[in-house]
Amino acid sequence: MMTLSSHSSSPGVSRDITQPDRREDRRALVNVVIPWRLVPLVLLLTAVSVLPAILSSPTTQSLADRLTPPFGFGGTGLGTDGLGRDLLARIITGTRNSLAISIVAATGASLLGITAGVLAGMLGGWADRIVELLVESVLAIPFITVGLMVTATIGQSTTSMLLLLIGTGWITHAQILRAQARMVSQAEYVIAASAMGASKAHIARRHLVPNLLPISIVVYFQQIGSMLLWSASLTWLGIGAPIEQISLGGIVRDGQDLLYNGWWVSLFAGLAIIYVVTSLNLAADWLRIVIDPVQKGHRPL
Amino acid sequence: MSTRRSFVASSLAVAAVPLATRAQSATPAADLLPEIVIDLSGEPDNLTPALSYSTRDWSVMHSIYDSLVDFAPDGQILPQAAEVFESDDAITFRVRLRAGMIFHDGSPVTTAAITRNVEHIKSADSQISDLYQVITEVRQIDDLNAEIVCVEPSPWLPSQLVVWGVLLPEGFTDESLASAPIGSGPYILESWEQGSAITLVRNPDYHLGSPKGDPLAERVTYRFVPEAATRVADLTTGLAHLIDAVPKDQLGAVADGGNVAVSSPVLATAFIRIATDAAPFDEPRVCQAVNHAVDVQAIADALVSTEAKRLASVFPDARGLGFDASLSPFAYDPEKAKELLAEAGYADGFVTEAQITATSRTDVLEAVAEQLAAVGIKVNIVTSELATFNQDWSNTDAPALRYASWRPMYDPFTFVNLLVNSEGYLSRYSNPTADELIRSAAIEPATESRDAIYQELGRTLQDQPGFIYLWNLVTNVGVSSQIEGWSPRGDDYVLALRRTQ
Amino acid sequence: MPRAIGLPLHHRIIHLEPMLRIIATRIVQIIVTLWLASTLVFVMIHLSGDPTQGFLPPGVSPELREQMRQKLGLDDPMLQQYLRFIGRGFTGDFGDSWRDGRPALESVLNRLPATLQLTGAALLLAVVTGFGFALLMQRPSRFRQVLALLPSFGQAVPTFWLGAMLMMIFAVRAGWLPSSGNHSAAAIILPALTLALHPASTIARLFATSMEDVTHADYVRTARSKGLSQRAVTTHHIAPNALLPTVAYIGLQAGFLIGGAVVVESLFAWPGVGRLALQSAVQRDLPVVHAFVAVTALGVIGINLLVDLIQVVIDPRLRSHTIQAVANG
Repeated sequence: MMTLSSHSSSPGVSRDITQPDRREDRRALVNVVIPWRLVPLVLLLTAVSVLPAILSSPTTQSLADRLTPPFGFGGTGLGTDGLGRDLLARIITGTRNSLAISIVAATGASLLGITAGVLAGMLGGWADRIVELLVESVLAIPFITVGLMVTATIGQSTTSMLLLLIGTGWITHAQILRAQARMVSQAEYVIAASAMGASKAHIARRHLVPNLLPISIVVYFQQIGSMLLWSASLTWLGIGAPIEQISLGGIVRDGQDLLYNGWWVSLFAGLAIIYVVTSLNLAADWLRIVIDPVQKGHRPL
Repeated sequence: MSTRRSFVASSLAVAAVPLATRAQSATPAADLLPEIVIDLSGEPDNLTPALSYSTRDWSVMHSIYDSLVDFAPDGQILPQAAEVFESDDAITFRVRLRAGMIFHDGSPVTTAAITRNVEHIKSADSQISDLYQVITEVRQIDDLNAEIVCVEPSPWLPSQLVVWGVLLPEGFTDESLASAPIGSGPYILESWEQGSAITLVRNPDYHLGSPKGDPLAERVTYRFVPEAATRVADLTTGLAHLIDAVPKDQLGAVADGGNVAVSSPVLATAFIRIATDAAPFDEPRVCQAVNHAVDVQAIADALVSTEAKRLASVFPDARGLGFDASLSPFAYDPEKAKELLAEAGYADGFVTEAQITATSRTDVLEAVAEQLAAVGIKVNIVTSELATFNQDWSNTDAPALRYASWRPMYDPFTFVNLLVNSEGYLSRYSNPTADELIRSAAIEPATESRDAIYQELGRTLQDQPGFIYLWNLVTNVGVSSQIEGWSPRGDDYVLALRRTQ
Repeated sequence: MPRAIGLPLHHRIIHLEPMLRIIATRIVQIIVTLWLASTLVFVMIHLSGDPTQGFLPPGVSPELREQMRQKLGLDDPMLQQYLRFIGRGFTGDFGDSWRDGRPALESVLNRLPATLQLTGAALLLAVVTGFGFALLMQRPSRFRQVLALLPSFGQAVPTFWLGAMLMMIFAVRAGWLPSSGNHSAAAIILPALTLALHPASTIARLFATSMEDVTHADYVRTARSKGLSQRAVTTHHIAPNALLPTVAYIGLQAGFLIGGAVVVESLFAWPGVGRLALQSAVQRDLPVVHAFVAVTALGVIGINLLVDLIQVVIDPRLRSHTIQAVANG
């Protein structure tokens, strides 16, 4: 949204509508904008791939060293948690695990959602009605209660959390792609192609996919961040990741009872979540600008 | 066990004389507070006496109702709504009620209230209704005198009456019990806002000086605050005056806020139950090895409380039956553990699973798992939600280890029958010696002898462990500086009462 | 490459249909959703094992457990139980709670107002600050680039963490606001703030983006080319059209807000229906879970119906715009 600052910064001036300037405008801006929007994510990915090799183990306990304060408060690094484990190592590993789960969940959700959305948009009629009903039903069923029931049914595991995240996350893709697919399939050139005898599969391959890919990628990227937040909330409520799976939500949860003696546990893990999700959101913004320079419309948020 | 006398003797010595005289002066203490607010970690599920199973249920229930008997701070059973409660054979229990007690609706408390309690409990779909079936009859001799008659010696019954033997008024219904209870206890229910608060007002007609204690305030509000950090914040900001379940690492915050953190051992035992019905734990040496492998006291000191002491078996302390101070706990000795494992044929260790509910102390189990790993036993932790966890007690496909705790343990009768007895509904332990001891303790009328039998059971459980014995639980309560003279109970009910002894 | 411009939200296509059609669609949706939700609850609770394990204590004898199962009809053939269950969902008779014996629907309805209060306050706060921020960003400022990042950041803050921090700062350290409960008017401030940050950030981003989109839409260019003033273009064309996706988003978020409120309710001991649902699901209290899911689903569908109608009211010209957008594609 901030990419178009040059347009709206002068609201009083009416623009010359005949000038086909938007593409150039954007390109100029993209060039300016690329580096810094990606910096946080690049730093993050570097950290989670390099740091585990040089940090101490995130699982080694030492009751004697529990709740050592962080550097600057009489301790080293980010301090230790309630079982004397190195907090920096836990946050890094937690970030990696949380990212992995979110990426898997977002991937599953996109595959499911894109399929449903494209089918609905292309076929229309009954397929469309059914997908719409499913989408709105999932939206109307409260997520947390369902989460708890999934946990009760198949046990507290990464699998049950993934099922839940995918089961609720696909609707975002389905909704957007359904509308997009319908618009594309109703466009004149597609109608023309269809009239000339092109098969549905051909139309999908030639016209739909190129049109839908950019938006899907943007939605996908943005969803990784929200998946991470949802999985952290579930873990915080005690229905998410199993305790042996180090996760950012789990570290905040551990720190909740340590706010007095070990404020750093919850504080740093919370800041880590904010950093990770912000960097994913910024990267998604960047992607939107780069991949999708002309197509306007959906700004999945 | 010199501190414990039979409840028969104590009832005569302590209760009859001094309490009766104090009860005549019904003027409340001068330092009665206008209002106190108590933060509980959970809302009572139910105030129906027969269906109350948790400390949060009991905290409110026993504010409203009076039981015939109560535990004294040292664990003795004292008459409470009764004036005399005694038995020679543990078959017939003679009860004399205090004179002049009335229910909150103004009706008099008579021995019919005892009959109503027995009928209510026996007919309810409740865990306790099974136990109450031993009562064949309540003989109402007159309005104040009655006899509770059992089919066989039931020396464990008084400890059950402390919890469930509450006096019920005439004309109660299932609905009134569940949400508009009328009792004869120290407080009267004013309102119950579901999910938010229960408000009680002081019962002006309540008899003072009983072992349960005297009211602290004119009005008491129980609020339900699931997060410990929030409860501490409530106490610090003055929103609450008593808060339960303060984690060890938040005790300092209570003190910093100018309030008092009270830590006190409760009659409850924490343990890791071992499934001894399948390999590798069907070999007693493996069970001993895991007890030697865990530095229980270090974990207790670091994570639970310095008041938590490593236990030699399942019996938590001298206030309850079965505790033997001369029996020492397993020594922390990883080398010995490795030797025992090698002798049992597991020199290379093995892999097993441990189950825990997501809302209990997962850090404790993680610490235990780390120490077991040091002797070659790899423990994978399985977190379940409560219903699944409870369903798995006797499930042979469930993880071999499970972390849990049990309360109250004044009388170990229920615990050993469910978890140690080979026939127990929750048991995966089988030891004929233990079964025999459990059977004989259940019908032994003399308290001293029962104590001795349970101590013998403790030794048996150490030779052939069915648990990794951890520690006695500790209640950490935050108390506002405005409240003086409040002390926690051994059963951890948070009552707005001040004990006078 | 051909371009798909402008107004693709499916809501707009729904708006091409008359209002009655919208209502009829929603009624069909109510039936299907109730059926789906009831089935989901039924299947999950029964797959998870013996429901009596949730509300009877572990030490109960197998005989008593069996007696309870018979009393609640849990031993009947599954199909019979299922049909009875579905029937209850549609007649609104969810039965009594297995845990406390109270009527299930009544328990849910008792707790609903607190949640509506909290989510309502949070949504209002989110709408005001979200739109406010987006409009503010339209004005030139030296700090625009930095300020524009705020919503991205706000969307990344986990509610449970934010709530704990706000409580520490404003209740414990400063002592300005109550730390928990709902017994004073000021008590809603911290939970509502906590719950509002995420939707506020999203609304800010969405609205700002929509304004940009609409500013460059063909029909706005056309309006400008007709010589309409900037103010007229903004009030008659840009703002109403930019509002639409945002209003649609708010409707879609209603269900998520109620579900997500459970974290805030737990943290601030707010006596809402989310906590009841969580507790009931833990205790496998099927009637209460069922009533909760049905009431929430109906509520969310109701809100969405309202949103549909609002959208038609805001912009009755949708039909022509959509046609125009498609024609330009």
